[in-house]
Parts: sequence; structure tokens; C-alpha cells
Amino acid sequence: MAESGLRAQLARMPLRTDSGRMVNFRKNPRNLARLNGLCDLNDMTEAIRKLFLIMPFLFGIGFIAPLTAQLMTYWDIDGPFGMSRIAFGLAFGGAWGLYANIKGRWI
Amino acid sequence: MTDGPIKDDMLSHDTIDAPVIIPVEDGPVISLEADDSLDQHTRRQLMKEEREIAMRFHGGRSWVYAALTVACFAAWVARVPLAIMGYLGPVGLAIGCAFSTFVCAYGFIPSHEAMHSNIYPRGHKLYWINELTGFIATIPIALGFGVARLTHMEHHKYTNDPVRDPDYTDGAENWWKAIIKTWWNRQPGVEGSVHRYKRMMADMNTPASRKAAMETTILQLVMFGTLFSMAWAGYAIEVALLWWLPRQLGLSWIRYWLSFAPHFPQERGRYQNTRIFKARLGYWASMAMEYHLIHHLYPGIPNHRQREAYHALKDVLRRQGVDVSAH
Repeated sequence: MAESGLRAQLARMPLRTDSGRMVNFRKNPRNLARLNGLCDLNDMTEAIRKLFLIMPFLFGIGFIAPLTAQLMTYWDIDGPFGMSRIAFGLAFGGAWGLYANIKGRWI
Repeated sequence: MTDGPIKDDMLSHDTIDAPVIIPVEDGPVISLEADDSLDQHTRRQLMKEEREIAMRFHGGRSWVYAALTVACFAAWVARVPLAIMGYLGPVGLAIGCAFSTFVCAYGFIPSHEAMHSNIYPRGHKLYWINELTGFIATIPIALGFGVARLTHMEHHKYTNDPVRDPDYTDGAENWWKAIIKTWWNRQPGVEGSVHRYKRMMADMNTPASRKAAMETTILQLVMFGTLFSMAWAGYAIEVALLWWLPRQLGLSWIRYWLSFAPHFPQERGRYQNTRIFKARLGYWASMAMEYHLIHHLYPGIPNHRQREAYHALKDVLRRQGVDVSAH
């Protein structure tokens, strides 16, 4: 009873969040989460958190793969088993990144 | 006792004379293990003396930190277009790599001064320069200034506390294990370095810590985005030599000289948690951290004046029980 009273009171009262935005709890019940200081961008922060969870794998295919291919070109090394350099780079970088993701370390 | 300058109210203003102290070369006069109550008047007198000397070394030409930071940051940014336009050959890339490593590692010094508002103090009309310096100085290592400042303040408050000191994980048994640990702590599944900083930001859960954590996250996303896009655009070797490798080397350099070396062997206490030591690589290569105790006692003394301050304070510190045999 007391809690619903508090909610009703909150609903009448626009508040300023950490980022300075005014929010009205009557318009959007999810704004209650903002009152708890959970940040205005809950969904985005969650997405970023998930992105960082797989960052070693992304680093493997986003950076190690092209770096491997370009180093092979620089030193004039062909890909093994008839693979192109970038295909080998993706296999190598992807596998290494996946290993780092699973083991929590690069070596 | 926490670190930081001694405030007036911490000191006795009476006129009790300190007992005559007979100096003993290369060794503490007052045993810090002994009952503190026995010589509290002496300690107060020493602290007053210490503070009076230390106050002479606060301030100085700290704007130089800001000027150097802006110049180095501009040059650091300029390497990328130069590399893309093909102006940097193998020699240029090698020089760029060395320069970037320097910027990543030594950029932490002006940032560190800014964390303590030593460039321009809070309330000064040019305080924004202090904040700007701190902000841009840590961009090359993709660490937000807010996170760096908040965690550094915790480090000062809880130096060598296994749980509350953000830098505690840099501790090691010896120098070569410490070097390995600087790298180890950055592994994805290890709670050290920036991973520990992020966790501490989440634990703090204040508006400032959330904002700081977001700032660091954005910086890291920008860094990864730059690395990935440049690599796939055909400049993987260039970006690896101009940012990725220098950042790795710079972070290890910072962790070794700022976290491990001055705090080894991680004791607790105002005069024990940081040491005066002799760096094999010398004063400049160690980022002037040989005198880091002075910084923990008086964070308002800028980095470039700590050596001078130490020599002025040496006798008082020795009487406080500090091992001053290194310099």
C-alpha cells in the first residue's frame, strides 16, 4: 500500500536523471529504472557489454585476420592448402580469437 | 593514516619542543614498530617540519605539461594520415612506433598531474585546461580520464590494500615477474588493469563512476573501430605499429613504473606504502618514479619537482623512519 502510494507520488513528479534529462514516470513506467540509477541507456549498455564479451573473437577476425594476410603479402608467403591469404588470416585469427574468448587469455 | 598533505587541524599548534634526536646514518631513528604514544610529540614536530618544507615545492610551471600534451597528441594523430598517404616508409613506421610508445607511456604523466589538478587547480579560470590535458593525454591508451582519476584517488586512499587498491594486482615477487604481470593483467579473463578499473566503477555505482565507465567504453570502441577499419582497408601493419603495439608497450611501461616499482613490496602505512628506490634505467626512463613517495605524501608537488623536494625532505623523512639509502 505504502509502495503504491510512493509510486503514485513519483508518477506526479518529473525528475532529473544523471544526464540532466527530465523524465516523467507516468508516461513511461520504465523510467522507474532510471530512478534507480541504472543509466538512461540500459539497452545500449547491455548491447555494449555483450559486444565486449566477444571482443577477443571480434579482434581475431577484425584485426588479426587482415594483419596476418598483409604480413604474408609483405613477406611473400602463400596461404597453405591453396587458401587465399585472407582466408587463412580469417581462419587463423578467428580460431585464435575464439581460443582467447573461451580460455580468457591469448596464450 | 591515508596519504595526502597534512592539514592544519592534524597538527598540534602548541610549542612543545621535540626531544633531541641523534641522527643515525642510513637508518631510521624512530622505530615505526614501537608504541606510537611514546614519541607522538616528536612525530608531530617532524610532520610540521615535513609539511613546511613540502609546501615550498607545490606549484611551478605546470602549464608545460599541458603544452607538451597538446603538441604530442597532435603529432600522434598526424601519424595516421601520414601513413595512409604513404609518407611513412619502413623507417618512418619504426620512428612512428617509437614515438607512439613514448606518447602512450609518458602521456600518463601529464594526465596524472591533471588527476590531482596540479596543472590548474579547481576554481582557477584555466581549470578547463587541466581537464582537457587529462582527457587527451589518456586517449592513446584508450583509458577515459574519469576512470583514471577515480581509480587513482582510490589508489591513494587505499594504497596496497589487496581489495580496495585498484593497482594492487600489479604487485609481483620480482621485476621480471612484474613485467610478465603487466601483460598478464590485460588478458580478457584476468581481473587486472582496466578490467579491474571497470569492475570498480561498477561497484562505485555513482553518477561520476557510471559516466567515467561509459567514457572509457566509448574510447575503447573508437579504438577497436579504428583498428578494424584501418586493418580491413589495407593498413593493418601501419595501425599495428602506430597504435596497437605502442599501446601494449606503453601500458606495460606505465604499470611497471607507476604501480609495481614504487610500491614494491606492497606494505601499508604512510611512510611504508611507497619507497624511494634507485632505478637501473635511470631517472627519466623510470618516469621520475624513484621519488614516488614524495607524491604519495604530497600529491600537490608536481612530478618535475619531486626529486628536488625529496632532497630537501630527506633528513626529515629519515627521521620518520623512511629508508633513504637509495639517493
